[in-house]
Amino acid sequence: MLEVKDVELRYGDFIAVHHLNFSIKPGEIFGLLGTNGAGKTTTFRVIMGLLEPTLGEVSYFGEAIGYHNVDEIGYMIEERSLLPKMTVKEYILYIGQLKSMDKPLILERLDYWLKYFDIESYRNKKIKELSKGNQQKVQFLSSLINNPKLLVLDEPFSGLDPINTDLFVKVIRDFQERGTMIVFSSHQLDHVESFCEKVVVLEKGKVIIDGYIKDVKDDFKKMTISIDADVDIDVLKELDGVYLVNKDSDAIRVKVESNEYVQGVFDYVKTCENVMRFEVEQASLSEIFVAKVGGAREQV
Amino acid sequence: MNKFKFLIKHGLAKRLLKKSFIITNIVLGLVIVVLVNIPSLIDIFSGDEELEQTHVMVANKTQDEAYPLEETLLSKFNQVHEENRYVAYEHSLEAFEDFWDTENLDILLVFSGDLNAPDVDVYLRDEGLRNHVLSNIQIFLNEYQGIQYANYTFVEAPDPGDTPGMDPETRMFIEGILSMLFLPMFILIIMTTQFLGVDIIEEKSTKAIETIVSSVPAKVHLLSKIVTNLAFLIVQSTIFIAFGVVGILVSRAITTTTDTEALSLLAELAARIPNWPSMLLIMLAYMFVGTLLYLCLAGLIASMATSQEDYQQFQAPLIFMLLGSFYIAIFLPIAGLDGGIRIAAYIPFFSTMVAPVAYATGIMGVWETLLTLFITGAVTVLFLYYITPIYKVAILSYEETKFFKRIKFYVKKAFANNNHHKNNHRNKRKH
Repeated sequence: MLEVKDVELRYGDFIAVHHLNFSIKPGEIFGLLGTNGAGKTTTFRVIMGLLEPTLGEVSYFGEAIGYHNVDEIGYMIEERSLLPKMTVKEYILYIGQLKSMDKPLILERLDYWLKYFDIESYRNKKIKELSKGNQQKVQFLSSLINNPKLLVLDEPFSGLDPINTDLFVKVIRDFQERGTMIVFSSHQLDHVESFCEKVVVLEKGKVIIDGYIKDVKDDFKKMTISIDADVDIDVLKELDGVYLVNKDSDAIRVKVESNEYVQGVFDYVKTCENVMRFEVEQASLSEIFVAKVGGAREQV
Repeated sequence: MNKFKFLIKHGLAKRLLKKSFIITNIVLGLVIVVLVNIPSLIDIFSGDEELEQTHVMVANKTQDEAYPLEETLLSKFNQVHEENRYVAYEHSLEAFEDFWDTENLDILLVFSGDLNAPDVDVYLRDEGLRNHVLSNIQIFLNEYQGIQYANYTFVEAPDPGDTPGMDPETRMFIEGILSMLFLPMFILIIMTTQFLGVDIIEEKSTKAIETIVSSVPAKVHLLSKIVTNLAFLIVQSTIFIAFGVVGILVSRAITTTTDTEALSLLAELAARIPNWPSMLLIMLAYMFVGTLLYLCLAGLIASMATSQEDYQQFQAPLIFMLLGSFYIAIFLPIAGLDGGIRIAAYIPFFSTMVAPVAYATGIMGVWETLLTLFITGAVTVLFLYYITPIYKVAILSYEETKFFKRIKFYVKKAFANNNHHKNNHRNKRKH
């Protein structure tokens, strides 16, 4: 189990991370979200022990995280983090041995993953000769080579095409099934929503959303109504509780402050002709994210 | 294998198995062997044009004073040489000890007691002549009185020891060859600091450093880089010394295949610098400790840079210090500024090249030189202690501000972190 307990990180007067708390159990996927500069990478660095928190602590199965348990952790940073003059084999051997692995085991796993990602022919090629997508695969592979119990992935899907994104998602799912704890960040909130159980959203180092996605959605009262009917948009805008009306290609989206205003909209739509669709949805994670981050910024 | 050892092994293999390293050393090896043998080669190709003469004085203080000992011995010495190489010294000496201060007198033999079994005091300017001289004396004695042996005493030149000061001729010679002696040391230090910087910057600029220091502490990473480059320095120096030895062996081979005296540059140097073994040891010790200090500085600078261009600019102070100490070491002794040399020898960074020169030229004695070495070593340990927290902060940071602003920022951040962590640990212990 990974526990981040009341972690605060200061640089002089500047507070990079404010009192952050969360925990992950084996087999859980945890999403750490936030805008650029919100403190996600700093939090990852604290988890990896690269930065020591000013206050609080990070524990890994009950003991403080540190270089004594780092061999059980896989880490992939957001940007390209490879030694381009090395060949794929040399680089993976280098990283594997830094994880205290023996050469034969590294080579065995390397061959497995190269085959899995369909890049076997690049085994002895220099990394700088590979395409960006294939470099991303090598970097991902390097974080998996030690079969980690904790996998920390900072923006693993950035720059990937949909096919390779699915390939990465499948690998992450496989590791989850094996009991690996996975912490990851992504700007692609649909991915987060599709396979994260828990999230923390940071804004300027402060937690603005925290908990299971289902609870977060339940707590967020605003709702979206999709309507396909001959309605007067100006009338919709004037209804109680409606704060936004958008006309999309397939439907009109009406955003209401809470569940209690849905009935009023429904009563109006009933009076219109050609009603084909009236669908009430919880706000998406993306909408919650935008609303909460916007709110947090307004407070600042 | 632990990670520290692995990083060193990996770093060394990366450096030593490079084609450029192997080719450069093959070329350098040939150059060194040729350089070492220049005197022999000149001797071979110069033919009979210039004959170097060896001046000999023989003092006969035996019971048979009338015996023409000097003429007899000179004819024996010249038997193997067709030329009249060994000639009598035409002047007299007030005292035999004046031999060491007398120019152009190469051999002094003082026979006393009974010429049948004489006591012989042997004064030699060039130790390489010893076998030739002794074997010929013995041949003469065999012919003179049968199989009796002489009792030899080899009189050695006064040892400069720990007393500062050196005879002007030796000092002038050392001053003349300083640049030649210290240039390899200067180049090796520059090379290792460059390699260390390039290594760290390569990992930092590609962001691979974050993956690496997530597996090994930044302190271990820095130390492994320093030790790797220091090991490289030792390997490279050993290779140079091995080339020197090969040069001497080649010189001996030339001697046996031609009728030439064994002449090599190194033998010449050894003959003219009386305290060369201790000087070599001090140079090597300083090369090790001084390079360690420069490597620490190079590591710190590299951690603060974000690209190769950045590092090239930031390392200017390091290069200036090295260049400064090189020029101080070469020119201050020639200018006679012994005080300046002595002061610079106590200043770490400058001491690396200045202190061995101060010792070699007799400005400082062995104990004073060892004191400066101790000071440099102590400063290196302290420096390493203080730079590791800064390295830890800087290596993961990509600040693009001006150099001094960046240094200030990293120092502040490193020591603010340290204080916070100490307080954090203290609070945890209280709870």
